[in-house]
Amino acid sequence: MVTEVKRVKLTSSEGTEFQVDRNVAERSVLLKNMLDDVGESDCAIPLPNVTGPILTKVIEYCTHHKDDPPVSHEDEFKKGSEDIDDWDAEFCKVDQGTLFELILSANYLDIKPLLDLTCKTVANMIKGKSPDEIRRTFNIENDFSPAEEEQVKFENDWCEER
Amino acid sequence: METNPALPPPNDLSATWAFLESGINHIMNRLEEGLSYKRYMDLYTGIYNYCTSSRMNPGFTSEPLAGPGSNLNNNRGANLMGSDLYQNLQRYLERHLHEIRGNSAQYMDENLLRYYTRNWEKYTTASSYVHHVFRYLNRHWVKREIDEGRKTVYDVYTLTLVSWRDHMFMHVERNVMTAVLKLIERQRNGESVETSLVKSVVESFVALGLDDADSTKSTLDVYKEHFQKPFVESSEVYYKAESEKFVTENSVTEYMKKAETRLAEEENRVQMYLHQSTHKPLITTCENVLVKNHTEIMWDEFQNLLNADKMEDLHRMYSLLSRIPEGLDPLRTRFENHVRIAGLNAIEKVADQGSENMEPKTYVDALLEVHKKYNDMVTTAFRGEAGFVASLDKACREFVNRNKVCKSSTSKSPELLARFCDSLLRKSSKNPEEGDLEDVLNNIMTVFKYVEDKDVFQKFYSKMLAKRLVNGTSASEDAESSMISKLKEACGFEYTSKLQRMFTDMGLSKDLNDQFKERSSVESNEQVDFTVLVLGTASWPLQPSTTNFTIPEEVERTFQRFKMFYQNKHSGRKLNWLFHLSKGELKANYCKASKTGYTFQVSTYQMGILLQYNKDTSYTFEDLKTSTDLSSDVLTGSLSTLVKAKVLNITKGAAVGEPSSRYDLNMDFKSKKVRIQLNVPVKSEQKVEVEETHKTVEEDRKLLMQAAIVRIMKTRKTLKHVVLVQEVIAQLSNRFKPKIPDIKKCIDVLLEKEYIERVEGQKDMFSYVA
Amino acid sequence: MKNPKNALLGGKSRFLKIFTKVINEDPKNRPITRRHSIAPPNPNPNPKSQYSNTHFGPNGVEVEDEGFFTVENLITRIDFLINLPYEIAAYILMFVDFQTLCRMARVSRAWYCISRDNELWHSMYVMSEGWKTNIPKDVLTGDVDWKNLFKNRHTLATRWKKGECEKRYLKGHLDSVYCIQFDEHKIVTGSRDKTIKFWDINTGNCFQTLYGHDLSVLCLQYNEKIMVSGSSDTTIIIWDMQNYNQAVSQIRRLSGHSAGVLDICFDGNHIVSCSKDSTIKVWDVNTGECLRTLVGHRGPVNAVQLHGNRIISASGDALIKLWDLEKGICIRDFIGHTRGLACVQFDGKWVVSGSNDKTIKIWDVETALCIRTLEGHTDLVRTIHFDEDKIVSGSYDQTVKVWDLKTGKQLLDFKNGHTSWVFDVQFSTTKIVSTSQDQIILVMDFAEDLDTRYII
Repeated sequence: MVTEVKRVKLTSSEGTEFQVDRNVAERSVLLKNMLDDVGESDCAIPLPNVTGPILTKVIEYCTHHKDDPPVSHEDEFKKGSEDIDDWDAEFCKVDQGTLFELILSANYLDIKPLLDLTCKTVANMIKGKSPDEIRRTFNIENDFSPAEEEQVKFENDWCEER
Repeated sequence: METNPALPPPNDLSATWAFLESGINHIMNRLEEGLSYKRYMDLYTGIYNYCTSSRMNPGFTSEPLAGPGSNLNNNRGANLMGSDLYQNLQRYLERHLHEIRGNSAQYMDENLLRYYTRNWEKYTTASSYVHHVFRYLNRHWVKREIDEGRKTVYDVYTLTLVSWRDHMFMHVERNVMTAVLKLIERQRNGESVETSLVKSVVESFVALGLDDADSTKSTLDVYKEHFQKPFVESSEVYYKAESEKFVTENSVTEYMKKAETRLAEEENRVQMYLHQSTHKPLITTCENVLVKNHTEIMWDEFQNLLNADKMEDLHRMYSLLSRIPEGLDPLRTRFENHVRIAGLNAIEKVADQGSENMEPKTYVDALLEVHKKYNDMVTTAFRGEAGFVASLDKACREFVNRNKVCKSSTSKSPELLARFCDSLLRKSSKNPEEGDLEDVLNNIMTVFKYVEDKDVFQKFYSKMLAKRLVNGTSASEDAESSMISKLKEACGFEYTSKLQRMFTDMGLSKDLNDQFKERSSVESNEQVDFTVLVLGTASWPLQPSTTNFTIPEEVERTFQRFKMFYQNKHSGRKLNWLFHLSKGELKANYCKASKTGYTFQVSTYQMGILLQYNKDTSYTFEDLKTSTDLSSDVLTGSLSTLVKAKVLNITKGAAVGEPSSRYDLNMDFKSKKVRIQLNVPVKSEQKVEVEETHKTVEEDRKLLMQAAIVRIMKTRKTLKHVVLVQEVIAQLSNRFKPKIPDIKKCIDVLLEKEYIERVEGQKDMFSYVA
Repeated sequence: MKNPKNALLGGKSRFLKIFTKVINEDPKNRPITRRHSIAPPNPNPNPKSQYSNTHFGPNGVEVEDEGFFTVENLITRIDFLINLPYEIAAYILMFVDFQTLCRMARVSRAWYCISRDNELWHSMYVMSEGWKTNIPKDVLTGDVDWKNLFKNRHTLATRWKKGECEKRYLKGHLDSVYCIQFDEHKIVTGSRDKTIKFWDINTGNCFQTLYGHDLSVLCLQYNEKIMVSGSSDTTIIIWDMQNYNQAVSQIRRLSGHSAGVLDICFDGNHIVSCSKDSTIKVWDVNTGECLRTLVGHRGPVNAVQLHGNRIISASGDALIKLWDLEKGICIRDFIGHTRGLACVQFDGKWVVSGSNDKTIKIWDVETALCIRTLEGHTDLVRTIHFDEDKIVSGSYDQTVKVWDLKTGKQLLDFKNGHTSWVFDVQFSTTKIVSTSQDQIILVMDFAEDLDTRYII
């Protein structure tokens, strides 16, 4: 007798249906709680805030990490943003738009490891850059008046090592 | 049919809340109808959308920059959306619970419990759903509030519990508890009730206890205050009444059974549907009321149970009273008394023959019987409890050492014990089997443990052992060494070292004799069978000879040869010959009555006397005295035995030992036996011996006390009189119990001999003189 | 001022709808073939200009070329922090270091606001190694300005690293100042002029002078209840500190030593004193009874420390000894210094000693092995004090030096503080205070004009 691996149906915001194993889906705490509460069903789970392409990426991540030990949300916050393994780094080599979507989706679906990964990636894009470089990276307009800019610079001068 | 409203616009609080409220309502009230994935997701998404609408408000960025000392408020939680939702939820829960509370008013007792538990379960299940749906709020806004130190914000599930506690529980708990207590009382009265109701109530109370400092931790405060306290109080009242009534109407043994049953029942009750932490307070209260309040009658009944040997009831009483502090103390004292009296009575019965002729076996058996009986009682009825064992020991110590037989002195017990030992270890016609012997020896050790004057035992035992060894009357070497090792275990190496050495000497003598025989056969053709036991003076409690003695010439040569042989081997040693302990065998060929001749087993003195008759058939007392060189008393004694046995005839003189009395060899001697034992000890000698032994014990004790005093003073340098006496008693306690006047005498002796001196200026203080 | 990019603000779902709308309405709906990324959203509401065939030639003249199309604005750059929900933006920033946090404040107004998030700085502070706070229980951690706290603490740490401090001199004693202890309110010193003086640490004002000893005050220690002082007059005085602002009275005087009391140390149960008479005495702190005398050193015992049941003593005989207080016996010796010892400190695990051989040694108390020797002083090392990170030493060479405890490296060297031998030195998170034969007390304050309210 072959035991069926439980499958779960997910529907993206445009209506595309995806089928995944239950343990892959349960990397998302939202889906896990819901499946535990409401139970199994043949119905598809609608995800109104996630588009098809992003959902594909998310599923890719969850599938790769489906056997990871469960993460407890009370884990001591780890600060290292350097400890990203190769697969994850490759996974995050996407344009900012996609990265942005991934952050939002990980937040929405409550997938802490993915959220951490994507946030760390963005953090790395900010670290070590001068304000100008940051503006260029993220296409931000400088809305300070010159006086204000001077004031802010002065306020934060103490952090520079001389 | 589930309505699926569309998602509300995220910025619109009232629309969002309306949307959420209808969903929460469904979960709280109609969860059994089911919840679709879509509805669930929509609710979650609605909250998510609302919370994430907290972006940089466009107006925000046009404010002046926060300068030093500016209000920090615009940097904190204001940017996180969620407080509105939280407050709305709080208000919703309050309304919802009001309704439940309102409906509860119509119910009482069991119905109320059913209503409460049903709603509790429904509420908590729904709450966990709501908690999950609100997860986004929990993760961010609630977390930040808690991080910033606000103690009145909780995650949603905890919020639902707090709401239940504040709006429902506080108002109905009294009635609920009353209903619970009524239910339990009915169960105690024998009715069967729906215990699951109580279990649910318990779970509910436990879940509502929250730690004020950290809302994620739970405590048992609510349960303890609102459930446990009234429960334990009502239990106390119930059992107090029941036990008092029962006691007036029933016997003590009946009551004990009832109490035991009730206690078991309560234990079970805790297991079945109460919280583990209630175990201790409940059982302690029950023990107080059921047992402690009635200890008097139980203590009084104890004696009756003892008298009647009622094991089961004794055990039950023990179990009950062991639960309360000091419950067993009076029992122990009474038990000790009872055993002591039983022991003394047993000995009295047996002592009717008079202490002088007390058979050792009877005496020891009597002691053992009492001990065994009450030892069994301690192990079975009192579970071998240490206090009872101690009481038993104390009682035994009393009646072993101070009973009718021993009323003259405490040394009678050890003496009888030693004699009993001797009778077992001596060759006799009624030696017990090896297995049985072990058991009997163990029993002896049991009694030995209680004997106070262990040194007396040692003295007698070693004397008797020496006799057995010298006379070769040991029943079995294994038995002997088994006994020695038991003594060693009980008293230590020093106690048995001398005994051990006696055995060693015996072995050495055997080797010596073998060597001598070999040498003899080489050196000469003498056919005198000559065996010597060479024994170390220090280890053997043997008295030297009281008289001189001339070796008969027949033996003389061998005797001298041996002397030389031994001197060659061990040149530095001196041999003292104990002829009074030696014996020999003579073949009598002169008797007409026997063709083969008789063999006389004689003492050496007797041998000396008889061998004279090889030269002549008649001698006067003086002749014999001269030729044997024995003292008059000894000669008289030996002669009496020979005369009595009709080996010699007294031909002149009225009594043996009279001067000028004459003794002739009885040529007409006849006897049924071929081997005739003439070496019989004199009764009067025996009695004297026993008295002497006791005296030596006294002497030894003096020396031991003095040695102990010197030892103690040497280590401690200075000591007060009182402390010194205590130390001496303590040090010698496993040998004997020194009497204080004796110790004082010894101290005086030592002061005189200047081993110790009084300290100047300090009363009663001694110091060691180096 | 409206930022055209911010037109996309206001709800992610709306954002997505626009995005999908763009894809669906594009007549030239080219299939998306890239694997992982999606065609970026076009901020320009006119979909037609996404694929353009008008270019600007070298002179800025528009040129049309039918054979070549580019996709403009392919690489979108998004202002994350503004477009994400606040909590996520803050979460991203949890992963950066404080320097980045400060620099990014200058990027734009929005970035400035987020960078000031209090909880961010709270966790930044808490995760810095070795930084402690003592916030009173009735103050919510959310009400504390953590960025400010961080800034002050950081500045303090930087000043320590560079040795930048404000120097103040307290004058008043009439002779050498032998010993000192201080806390956040006061400094207490003992001197050859036989007095003990109390100084206000902020104003430098001497508000209490105690007379009692007949000769130089050589050592002292205090807590909230009592102060214990030792003197050349061979006695030890226990003083009542509970009302020190008003008055300090003598509780008891302990006699027993036959020569000057060179050092003392006390805890809740015992006072331990050491003396020129080569002995160490253990006293009951409550009754003043002398419980035992530890004999063993072959020369004056210059310094003593107490930790639980163990005593560490340092003597002119070049030995440090570890003693069991209850049993009164010497457990082991620490051999290594080549000349007499002047000072020692013991925290239960490490022993740090200073000697006439000009070196400082760090020892493991269990093995009595010398872990490290610090060289640098050019004369006798007279006084030593250490905590988990650093050692501060004072010497006859008139300098005060600061060393790293773990590496032994010399961090700071204060040469011009005193004009004579340094007799005692103590330090805290914010100050180093040293005393000298030149009768002056030197306060080196690293936290001058910093807000150190919650820093300990």
